[in-house]
Amino acid sequence: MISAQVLALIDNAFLSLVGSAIPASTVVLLAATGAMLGERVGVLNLGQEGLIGVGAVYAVIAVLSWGITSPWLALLIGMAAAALAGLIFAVAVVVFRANQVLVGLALALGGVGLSNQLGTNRNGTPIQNTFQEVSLGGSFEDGSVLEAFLFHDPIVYLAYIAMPVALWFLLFRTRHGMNMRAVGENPAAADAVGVSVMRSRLGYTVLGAALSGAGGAYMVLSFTPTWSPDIARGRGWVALAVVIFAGWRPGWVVAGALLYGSMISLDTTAQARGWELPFFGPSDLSFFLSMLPYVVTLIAILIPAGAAKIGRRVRATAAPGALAIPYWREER
Amino acid sequence: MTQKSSKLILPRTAAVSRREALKMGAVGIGGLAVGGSVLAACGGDDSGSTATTTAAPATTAAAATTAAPGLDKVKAHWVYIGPPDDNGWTEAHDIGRQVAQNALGDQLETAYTPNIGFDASTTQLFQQLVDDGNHLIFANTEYAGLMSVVAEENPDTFFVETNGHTWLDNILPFYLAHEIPAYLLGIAAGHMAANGRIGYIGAFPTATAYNDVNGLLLGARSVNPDAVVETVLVSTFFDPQKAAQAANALLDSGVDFLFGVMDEPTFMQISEEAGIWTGYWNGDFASARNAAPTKFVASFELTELGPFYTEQCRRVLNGTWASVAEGDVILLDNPLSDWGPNVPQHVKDEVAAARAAIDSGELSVYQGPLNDNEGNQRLAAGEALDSKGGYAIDWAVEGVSGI
Repeated sequence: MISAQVLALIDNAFLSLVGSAIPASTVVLLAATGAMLGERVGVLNLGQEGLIGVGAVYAVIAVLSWGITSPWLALLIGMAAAALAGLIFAVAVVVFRANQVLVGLALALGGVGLSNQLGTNRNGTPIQNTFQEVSLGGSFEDGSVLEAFLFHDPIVYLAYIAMPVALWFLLFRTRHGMNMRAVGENPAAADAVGVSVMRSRLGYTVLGAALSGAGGAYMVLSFTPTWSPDIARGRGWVALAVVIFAGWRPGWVVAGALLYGSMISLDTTAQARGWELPFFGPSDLSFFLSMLPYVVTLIAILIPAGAAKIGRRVRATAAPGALAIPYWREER
Repeated sequence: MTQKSSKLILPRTAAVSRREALKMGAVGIGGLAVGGSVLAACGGDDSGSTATTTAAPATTAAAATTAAPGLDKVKAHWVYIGPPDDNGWTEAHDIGRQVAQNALGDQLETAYTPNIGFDASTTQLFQQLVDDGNHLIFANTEYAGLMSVVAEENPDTFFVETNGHTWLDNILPFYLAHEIPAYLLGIAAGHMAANGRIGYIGAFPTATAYNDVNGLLLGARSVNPDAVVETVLVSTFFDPQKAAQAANALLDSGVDFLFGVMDEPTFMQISEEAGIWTGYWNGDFASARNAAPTKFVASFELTELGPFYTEQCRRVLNGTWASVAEGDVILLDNPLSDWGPNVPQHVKDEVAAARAAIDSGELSVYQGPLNDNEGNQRLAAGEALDSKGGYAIDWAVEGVSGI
């Protein structure tokens, strides 16, 4: 028999986990969506780690050095900076048809280095102009179910609700979206029916980079309002894994990001609540828990791979056919 | 004496300027140019008695002011775990470096390397610094074996390690004894945390962390017998994102006072927003106070670093540098800072009284009988543990959880 007390404890802990997992996942969600957008039109952008850094550092610079007081404007500046970095990448891989993997890695390393350089002298300085939580439905009691889900800042709502719905509609319910997918699956066919492969690839790669930059800006404007070197700390790479886990579908990207975020939150929540695991002392537990998000990410990307192996939903979860392949009109 | 790693060995009589020689990394430390003509390509300033020859007697223009073989200029390097502008731990050390630089002027050449973590490249860095001709290398965290392997092979270069537990003739460990400020802050927390629950964000389960949580708990229990300390370890000293998550998790679980060893004050900003009292480990920085303008309680001062660094550099200059006996450590005081604006007067008075009692020797932080948080008795009634004993501690007092 489970006592009401135990139920209350589980309930309470679950809420605490959800309440912190949602904001913790937002960065990965935005970056993964940005990466997915590029990959849908056949451009693999491995530079997410760098784009998050660039977006974050320019949002920090906007607030601390340019006197921008509106977090919205700072967010836009971070997005614009990341979009510019994305444009350089896109021109290299789409116009000059450079190897996407190599240029992507360069963007990842270069973006991290650039943002660390620009962030010098801004380390640890608190940012006061942050996004404030707004309620999506009246006022709640502290620690209620509704509060865990419906009391976050506006970026969270945009990232979790507006963005996936809009992208799902765009990709799967409009002719433009069908053209986009065609560019990613078979650019020659899309080209033959008059879709501009280059314009589509350039545009969505840059837009995707802006979304990844928004993830970085969100980190410093809401999640943890301060700059620190290597700010993405692997979140960009996790975002790329989430895209694979999600099978390039916007709704599943949300699920993948939340899974990762829950593991991140579990690390601190489990310790703060004094949860105990067999075989681990309290001080070893911290090391195990900080490893968990990456282990779970690894397991999660095996799921679609496994599904493909046993022949189920292969088409739905397969990568775009022309992913990472440069398009030459002359070639067949 | 040439170094093992050097690729170029100068003949003893080669006429090379000291600067050039150092640039080439060809000579060991401390060769003293005499008369500006002949370079004695052998170090001889150390007190470790490993050098077989000493510098030629200084009799000309470059005459040393002291009798002991010394240097006319010390090259010292600081290796930092974080960035020197973190508004916390590393910045406090860098201010210490600047204090030494200003005090010794032309006699000291300083530089630093920031953001050095714990991996094999760290060892390479220390080797590089030795090869670059540094006489003295400071580490602002415990690099342990990553540093000592280099120290072992280069006995003429001196190392000073923060919170170190490695003893060689050329490694000097020092420690900021902080169980006392933690105890004093704990008294304040015991009064100010309405429900007696104190949150602590730590990095790794080391003596530093145990002295934090134990001091806090024992101080708090001295005024509130039901006080507890709840710990979250984040396996890093500088990661504002992780620190923020830990802060949120602790605040969600209901702590009424939040303290942390993080190198930057993000967690305090979160505590302020939640309306919870908070304190800071790493020095008295305006940004820490600004992060929690109404809820700031106090921080630990790190002002002893400057004089300590100056003294270490001066000893190398004078040729009197020496390490301590194995198991011993240099203790630096880090007193509690000035209070935040909203700390009640009775708390301030009580803490001042406790400080006086500690200074006079009446009161000891670790006073038996004490049990650890697994139920074993660690100190019997009448037993006490001093700061040097606390430096080696590896257990948390009963009432502390999560570590």
